[in-house]
Formats: sequence, structure tokens, C-alpha cells
Amino acid sequence: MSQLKVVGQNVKKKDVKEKVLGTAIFAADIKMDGMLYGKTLRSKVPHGIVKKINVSQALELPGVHAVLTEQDIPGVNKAGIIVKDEPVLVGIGQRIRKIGDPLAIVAAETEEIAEAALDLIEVEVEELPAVFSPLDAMKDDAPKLYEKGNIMAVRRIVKGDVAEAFKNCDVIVEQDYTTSMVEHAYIETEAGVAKMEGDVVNVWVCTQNPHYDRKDVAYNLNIGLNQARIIQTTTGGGFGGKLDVTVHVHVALLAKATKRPVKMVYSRRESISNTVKRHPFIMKYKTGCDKDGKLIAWQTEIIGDTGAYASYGPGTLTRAAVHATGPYEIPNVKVEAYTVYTNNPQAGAMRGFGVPQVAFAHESQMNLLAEKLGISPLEIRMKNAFIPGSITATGSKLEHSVGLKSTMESAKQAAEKVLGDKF
Amino acid sequence: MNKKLIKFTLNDKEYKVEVEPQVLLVDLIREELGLTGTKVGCGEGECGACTVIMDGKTVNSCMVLAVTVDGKKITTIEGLAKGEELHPLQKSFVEEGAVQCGFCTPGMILSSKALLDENPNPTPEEIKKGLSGNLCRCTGYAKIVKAVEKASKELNK
Amino acid sequence: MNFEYYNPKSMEELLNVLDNLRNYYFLAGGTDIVVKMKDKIVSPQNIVDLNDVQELKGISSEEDHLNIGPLATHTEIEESDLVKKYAYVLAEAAAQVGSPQIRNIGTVGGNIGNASPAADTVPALLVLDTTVQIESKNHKEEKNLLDIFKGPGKTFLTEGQVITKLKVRSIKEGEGAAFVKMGKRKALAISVINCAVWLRVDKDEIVEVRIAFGSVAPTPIRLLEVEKWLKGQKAEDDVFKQAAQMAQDAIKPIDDIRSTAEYRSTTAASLVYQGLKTALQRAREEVGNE
Repeated sequence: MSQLKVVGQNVKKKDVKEKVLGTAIFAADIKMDGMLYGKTLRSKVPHGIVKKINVSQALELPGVHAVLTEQDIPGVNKAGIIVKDEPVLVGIGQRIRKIGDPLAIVAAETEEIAEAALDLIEVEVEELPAVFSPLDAMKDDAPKLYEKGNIMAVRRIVKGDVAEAFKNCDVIVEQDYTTSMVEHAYIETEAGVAKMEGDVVNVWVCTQNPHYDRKDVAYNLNIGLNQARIIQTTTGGGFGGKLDVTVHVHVALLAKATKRPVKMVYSRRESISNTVKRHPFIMKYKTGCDKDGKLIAWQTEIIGDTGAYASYGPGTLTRAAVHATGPYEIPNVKVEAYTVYTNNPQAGAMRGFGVPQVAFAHESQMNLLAEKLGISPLEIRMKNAFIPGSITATGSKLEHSVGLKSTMESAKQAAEKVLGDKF
Repeated sequence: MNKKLIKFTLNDKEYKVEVEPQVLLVDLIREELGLTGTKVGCGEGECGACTVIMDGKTVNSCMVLAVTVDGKKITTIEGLAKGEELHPLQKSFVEEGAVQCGFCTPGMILSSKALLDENPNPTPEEIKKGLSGNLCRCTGYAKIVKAVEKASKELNK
Repeated sequence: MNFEYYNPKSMEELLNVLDNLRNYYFLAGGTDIVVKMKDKIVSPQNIVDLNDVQELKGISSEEDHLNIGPLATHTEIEESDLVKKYAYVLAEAAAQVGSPQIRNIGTVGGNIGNASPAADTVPALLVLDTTVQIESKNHKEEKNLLDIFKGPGKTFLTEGQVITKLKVRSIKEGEGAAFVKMGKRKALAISVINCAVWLRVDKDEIVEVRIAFGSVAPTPIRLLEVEKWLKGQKAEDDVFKQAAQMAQDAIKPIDDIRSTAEYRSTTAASLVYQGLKTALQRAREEVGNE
């Protein structure tokens, strides 16, 4: 085979030299003439209705150039990747759905002045009962975050007839699993700078999603797509957490209002408490096989806590449903995956998109079945693994190569080499 | 406010600046002196992105008041290369793929430098200990350790 | 942050500054106070920077003890030949504080003054029967380190007073010590629980013993009852196991963000057992673990 240019070669990252020299420019490194600093006033309660926001004192503070609230949004007060359910700023009469919901934004000469201005904004909120467990949120009498209820989406997968099939199983394992909320904790917190150029707003921002960001900025500022430019800066880690809009619209609004460049950099505390997380899952698994370990019936219910806003929730739960049965062929499957709103921080995309959570559960199920049958964990996987021609739970026929069995075989040989008799 | 005059060496250059005692070293370096290679990740000494070398020892510049560096010698990431020529650590980080998003990189390289200056032949365990105050979330630790080993060999030639 | 900054250049100047000042915090390494000021947990009117007071620095030895300046950094302690020889348990503890960056600047005096129940160097200092020298303008006194701590973040030091020296008892032949820490990971982890043990043996008999814990009470503590029971017992596994159980029963830890009371109790037993075993092994070696 001829030498390939990239595959199999040691390739240097395009921007690696700047990164080791310290000259790569991340969003927080940008400095412009006349640049102001932005800060966000956030809700201290998880659920409530805003009754009053008074910014007059904050506006009077020397060095403050703008204090904006929901009334200052020229376009639509909604953002979100899949569902537009997240307010840019929660206004008077509107609903706060989590601690940290933005209520007002400030641009000032320095970060300290901007912070001091936040303390001068008067806010009154009528607090409402909050719900933090998705199981509670699904109950009829739970506090409702949205008119249509707290169940944001349901994804169902049905193949064959599980109820009937469980009757024919020799061994059944039923087990609940829970996974926790996880923060991405990229070392660079969210940051961006916006600057007007005529009627075009330029936003330099760390992001994984510039094309989506652009639509939101245009939509919220009520300007044409051609008037919104997103310039992705060198981005200090994202892992799915920088797909959502954070500082983008806020700096754009402030730059437009002040006609000055405006920079916003989240503190670590702000980043952790206000940006998306990995969905915590509650999973109920029931898996049955015959006495030889061949899977017959598989039933899974997944409840994903998407927090106050949808973000990538419906996508994450769809992916979780599709992967709920692992890389195994099963004739009878029933999966139900619920995306549920609560007053927790919103959950979105994070490395694997719901799949790591279900992998923990389906692999545990396989181990438990093997234990009950008295066979090795490898044997039960070899018996049920996808092969070319397998039909997945969603009805896809795997026409091409499936490397699972040969991979397990290689792994077995490697393990035997290391462990010898102990394997 | 009561500004204090401080004199210090930054990347082999003498500086004389007036600072308010509240100013953090990282802000002096980034905002006043415009060297933005030093990063802020957490602001409380957990992540090591703001690491600089002060009198031969690494410190978190986000926890140091600038006024206390009077008379001290500071090295930031910008002080390592000689013109176009990368420092052996910078070279090995590039070659070993030890850089992903790059935000932890300046701190990692400076912790590595302080380590190699004191211990030119560290074991992988000693490297891990030397870098234990620097977090990488892209999780390229294995490659970072390899890069430090490589630079150590290069520097000992 | 908004404070007046004082930067005395000598002990005399420092004591004069303190004599006239109220509402101040000391700045040693700053790894705690700077973060607390940034987060507005504390907002002192005045900051007294100790770093230019040379009298507060350095490590030296006298016949039966080491003199350690409160401004000695954790790295200096960890790397000091004197500490490694005569107070190695302190070097062991200092090596487990925070991260290299924090050890390079954080000081042992700061670790004491801060009065965190979880401070790593304090249990080690306690089992070495450390005496603290405290000075104010017209007064100098010595106190046992154990009598310094009032509660979380609080000491019995009053305004005008400053710790000027630590007198740390040297480990001699026939004596051994150990520090054991349980954190959530190896670096940058505040102790869930930590423990130091010191003992002196004569052949198979425990002649004297000191056991100290961090993170199980509002202040670092000594287990005086368990120490008393161990005195005169045989230095053997069964006795150590009994002592471990007694230690577990003696402490009343709480649930907090870092761990649970239950976990701390169970772990305490295992730390005491490990500590006693290691300390004994070291006592039986020639001179400590050089």
C-alpha cells in the first residue's frame, strides 16, 4: 500500500505552535480599545415568577454603560438548540426555572464596577415550589415548569412482544441503575467579546457550534443572519458543553446597546452552576435469556433529568434509547426513554450523549445474567454479540462489517497473555 | 488608592510598575503587561492553568498578590522560546501530541520546566507528582508525561 | 478586595504595626486568604504581609528539638535535611498538602493560623509535641500547639499576637512516627481524614505514644485516652487493633461535603492501625527513615 499522508502518520495540530508558545488567542485573551466588561445578574431561587426588576440605581453608578433586561431584547426572548425554551433574560411576569437564570446584564468600564452594579439591581420574585427529582416531576401533582407539563419528550422502541417473551425466559435479571449529574469542567470557562461593525455584530467566542450560535444571535437581536458573525476563538475544551449559547447573545446585546466592544468571562463558579451538565439517568432494566444464555427479551425504562431547559435533552434520550440494549441482538425489545424537566441545572450534550449511562446498565445486566447462569461474562457476550446480518432493536440490518466478536477474541488473547491461569 | 512601586524580572526583562496592593499577579501579567499565555481556569489554585515560575518554584499566579513579587524573578510561557526556536519542552509537547485544547498547556510546560530544572532525570512517577497541580480535561496526561520524558533526554544530551 | 497593605521589614517593625492595628489578616503564602478575599468570604480592612520578616523564616536544630520558622513553606519542610532526619513525619505530612504550586508558597505557620480542622501538617506537629512561640509588642509566651485551636478557622491568638517560632521535638532512637491521609485523590484533595502517630518503644513495650487526628472534630485533636491505654502495653498487632477500635469509638466526626461521619469513623480505625504499625517499624529501624 502506498504511504498515506495523514492516516498512520504523526500529524501536528494546525495551531499547536501557538499553543505551546502561549500566543494562541482564547476569548478571554482578547482586548480591544474601549472595551467594556459584562456581568450577569442571576436568580437565587430555583422556581418563581419575576415581579419586579429595578435597574435605575445600577445605571447611575459611574462607569456603568448599560443595564439590560428582557424589555431590551429586540427579537425573540428564546434560545435553545433543539427546542427554543430557554429565555435570554427572564422578564417581569415571566418564570424562573432554575437557580442562575439570567435576569439582567450589565456593561461597565471594569469587571469590578459591573459586579458592583449587579448588587444595585432590585429584584422581587414570587417563589414557587420547586421539584428536583425527575420521578417527582413526572407525578400529576408536581409543580409544573411548563404549561404542557414536565415530561418534555418520550422515545419508544418496540420490537417483537416482550410481555410474551419474558414467559419463555429461563433466567431473568431485574435491576435499577442511577447515574449522576456530571460537569464537563473544561479548563477554559465560557468567554466572548462582541463588537459592532456598522450594523453587523461580531462575536468572538469559545464555542463548538458557531453556525447555531449565529442563528440565535440574529433571532434574539432581530437582525438578519448576514448581520450576525460568530468567530470561533481557540476553544479551551468543550466536550459537548460549549454547544449551547452562554455569553454569546448577552455580549451581542450589550455591544449593540453601548456601541462599544464588550467582553464577558464566566468565573468557574458561574460556569459550573449555570451551564449544561451530563444527564443524570434513572434506569430500570429487565433482561431475560434461555438456559444457554441466548437473550430473548429486554425491557428498559430510562428517565433522564434534563433540568430546567431542554438543551440537547431529547437528542440525548433518543440516543440512550437506541443504545439501551447494547451491541446485542435481541428478538423482543421494549424501551421507553423520558426527557423530564426539573428545577435542576439544564443537562445537555456531554461526551457520548447518553450512551455512557446506558452502557453502565446494559453491561451490568450481562454480567448479572452470566453470574446467574454460571457462565463467563465473555461467553454470554459472544453468544449475543452483533454480527453481520444482525437486526438491531430499532430494526436496522447490519449489512457491513461488525468487529465486536473479533475484538473480544483479541482482547481475550491479550488478557490471557497477561493473566495466564487467572483469566 | 495606595499604589506601591515594585521592581521585578519577568522573562529576563526588568520591570518597574506601580500596582494597587489588591491586584493579583495573574492580572498584572495578563491585563497590565499584556502577556496572555498565562491562563485563568478556576481562580483558586485547583487547576494550575495560571502557573508561573517564581524564583525557580512554580506558583499559582491567581493566588499571589502582585505587590509581593517585588525583587523576584518570574518566568511565564512567553519566556521559554528563544525567538523562533522552541524550548525543548515546547518541542516535545508538539511532537508527542501532548497538546489538545491548549488551555492547560502553558501551565503544564512551566510545571515541567521547574521539575526538570531541579530534577533533570525524573521517573514517570516523579513527573506525575511534578504535574499533580495541573489539570488537563482533554485527558492527554499519558502523552504529557511522555513529552516531559522526551524533553528530559533532549536536555541531558 | 479593598485593604490597606502593610509590609514590615523586621520583627520589631511587625510587632509595632500589630500593636496599633485592628481588623487585619496576615499574608504568608496567601493560598487561603487570597482566595477567601476574592470570594468575599472575608473582607479585612488591613493585610499584614509577613514575607519580609526574616526572623520568621528558616529551619535549625537544637539539642532535642527543631526550630521551624512559621514562614517555612511546605516544600522547604518536605525537602529539609533536618526535618527529614529529625521530624520526618512532618515532612511526610507537608508533602501531602495541596499541589506543588501550593506547597511552594503555602507555609506551616499559615496552616496553623488558618486553623482548618483538616490541615495536614497539624497532626504531625501535634504528635511531635510542638510548642508554639507567640509574640506581641511587650510579651512573649510559649503554648502547646494543641492549646492554640478554638474552632474551625479560629485560634486563641488575639490581635497584636503573631506566631514567631515552632519548637518541634526531634525523633530519637527507639522512637518512630507516621502520617496517614485519606483524600479523594492524591493531589489537591483536602483531607477527608488524616492521622499522625508517634511512639517510643523499649524492647516490646510501648513506653510513650501520641496519636493525632484531623478532620474528625472542629479542631485537630489528640486521642489522650487511647494514648493512656496504650502506654505500657506490648507493641504488637492485637494491641494495635484494639487501639484502632478504641480510636474509632472515641471520635465523633460529622457529615460534610467531603465525606460522611460513618466513613470517617471506619477509616479512623484503619488509619490508627496503619500509623501504629508503620511508626513501630520505623522505631525499630536504626534512626528513623533517613
